[in-house]
Amino acid sequence: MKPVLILGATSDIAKALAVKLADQGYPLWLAARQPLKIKDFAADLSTRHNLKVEPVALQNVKAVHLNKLAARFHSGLSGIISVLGKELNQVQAEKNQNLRTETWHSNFILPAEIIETLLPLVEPTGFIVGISSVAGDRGRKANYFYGSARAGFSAYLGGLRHRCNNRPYVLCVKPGYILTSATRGRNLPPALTSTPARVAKDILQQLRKRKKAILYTPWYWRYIMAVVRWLPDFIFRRLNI
Amino acid sequence: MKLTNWGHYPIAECKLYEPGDLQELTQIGSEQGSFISRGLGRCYGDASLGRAVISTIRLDQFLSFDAQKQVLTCRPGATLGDIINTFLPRGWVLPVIPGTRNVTVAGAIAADIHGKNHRSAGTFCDHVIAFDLLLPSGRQLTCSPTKNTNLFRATCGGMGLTGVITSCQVRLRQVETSLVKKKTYRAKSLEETIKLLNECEDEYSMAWVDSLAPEAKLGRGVVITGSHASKDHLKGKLIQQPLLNRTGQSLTMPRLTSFFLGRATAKIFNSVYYHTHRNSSNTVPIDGFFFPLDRVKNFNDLYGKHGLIQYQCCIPLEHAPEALYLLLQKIQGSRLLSFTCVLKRFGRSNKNLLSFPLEGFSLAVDFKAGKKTREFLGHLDAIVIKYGGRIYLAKDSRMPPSIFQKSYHNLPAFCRLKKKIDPEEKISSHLWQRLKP
Repeated sequence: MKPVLILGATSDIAKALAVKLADQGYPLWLAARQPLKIKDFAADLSTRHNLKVEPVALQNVKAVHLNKLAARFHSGLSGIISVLGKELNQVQAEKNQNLRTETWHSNFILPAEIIETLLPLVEPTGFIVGISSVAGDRGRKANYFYGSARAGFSAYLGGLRHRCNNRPYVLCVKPGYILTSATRGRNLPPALTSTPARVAKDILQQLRKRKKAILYTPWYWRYIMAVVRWLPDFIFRRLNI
Repeated sequence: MKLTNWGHYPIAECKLYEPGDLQELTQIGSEQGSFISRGLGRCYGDASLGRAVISTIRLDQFLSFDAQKQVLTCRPGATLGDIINTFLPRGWVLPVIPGTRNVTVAGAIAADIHGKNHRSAGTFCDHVIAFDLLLPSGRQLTCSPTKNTNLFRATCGGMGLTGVITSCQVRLRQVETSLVKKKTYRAKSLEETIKLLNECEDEYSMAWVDSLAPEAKLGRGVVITGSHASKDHLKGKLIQQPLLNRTGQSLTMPRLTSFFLGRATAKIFNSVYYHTHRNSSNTVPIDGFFFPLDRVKNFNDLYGKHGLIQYQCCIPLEHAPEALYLLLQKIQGSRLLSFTCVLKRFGRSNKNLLSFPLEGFSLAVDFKAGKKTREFLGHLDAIVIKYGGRIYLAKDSRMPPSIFQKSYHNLPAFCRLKKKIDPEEKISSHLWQRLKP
């Protein structure tokens, strides 16, 4: 089987995905800005499953660098999964331009640019999965820098899906609240919070079925966000969310 | 938080840290005044308990496996069960397998554990190629039988007191199948049990001894021996999947109340166990042969809430039959509760300073923890010392320092090395505080 490239491999969701994919026999490229952090994790998966699992360094989006990356994967990929990006502090970002730019870059530009450059390497029977967020479904004051980046990324994935027409399969994943090291310390409502393992399970299930264009995980976020999107402005603007 | 090991005795108030990577481990270690590392806590006493405890269970990665050299490199928290699950389907097992799969590799090194094949295979550390040790000073050294040899010999069996192992290389051994040809014998007396163990031709052997049998039948038991089955030995369905890792269902024991924990119950249990085992031979999965007690998820709860004390000693060969008879006689006459009593034949001891096995016999007995038990065990200590034996640190929770000093002749060398690499005693456990000279 051709390898799967996971972007943002230091994240908990990426690791959960890597474990499940290795279990299914996929060799893996684990791309991260700090590949040393996943050196042991990659070695462990590689030894356990007798597969090639290699960390890859991911730096800023520059055409030169991306072409080098493309050269490394020249023999083809079964799929690309982007787990890049995270929610940065809205309050701090309102005062700090660098933080805003970083938010928009890491949650939209970087993953989109990488996927776009590496698209020709993905086999037609393969897949492209982009982890976006429910936050992109409607801008709200609590997180609209992150939300707008994710809205952009979701639209990018939608356009890509339209263009690819299932060769390869393109999936936009919108998780709700997930308990990871990135969300540690935040007060997430326990009833609505899921785990990286659950997200990975849902994604892999969808990769088997290949029915959905957008996967909300857990499933109930589809309906929560439908309500949030429907709320007319005169109600929404009064809500403190 | 309150921490305790497999015997549920003692219980200690410890600060527990679970670093996720080596950087975190080094950081935590440097910040502590005194700490001890810990694996899965399968020792019985106070070995991995201390003021601060650094657990290695998150450092459980395999790093590489070289099939040519037959060497697995892994982090300290990798478990033996994990190794078997991963490599048995590929035709590899560990050369030394203890009675439970739930032991970390570093823990296996720290206790220099043994299995049912000590006579032929020695201890776990006899198959350790090398390990990286993080010293209390922050320096990291690679230790092997030929490099930093003294440190290697002190760390193997050193109960974690020389430093923290950060990675290890362990030799694996090839097998043709995941099955064991098992033979069961019923022995009517201690003499017969000893004879069967001495004359055993199989690689693995052990004897369950009825410690509550009346004096005339003292030492009667069930001797179990086995060897890895080759493909030729497999019949029927088994041939189709020779290396399948067959694991069985597990059950959870209820914590027995003191009403059921009487000698009468134990005597009945022992009698039934003895009589239902007859001379036989069959082919069993590795899981069932080596880890029968892992099937019963919490057999250590069997002794009630105060926990259990396991007394494991070994006696040199020459006077072993005499010593074993006296020990069993004392145990039988003590009126204390004991469910399991296991006898093993050991081969030659190795050069590791605090390694337990001596060429002779090992006797391991469980007792319900309590003041009476602790007082009684002093009598057993006297017999063990008289016949030149010693007690296993990984099971110990109450041995007096004088007994330790009299029986471990390499203790002065160990202490000198420890003083040299850890002058401020940064690494210390409750076991060490109790036993150190």
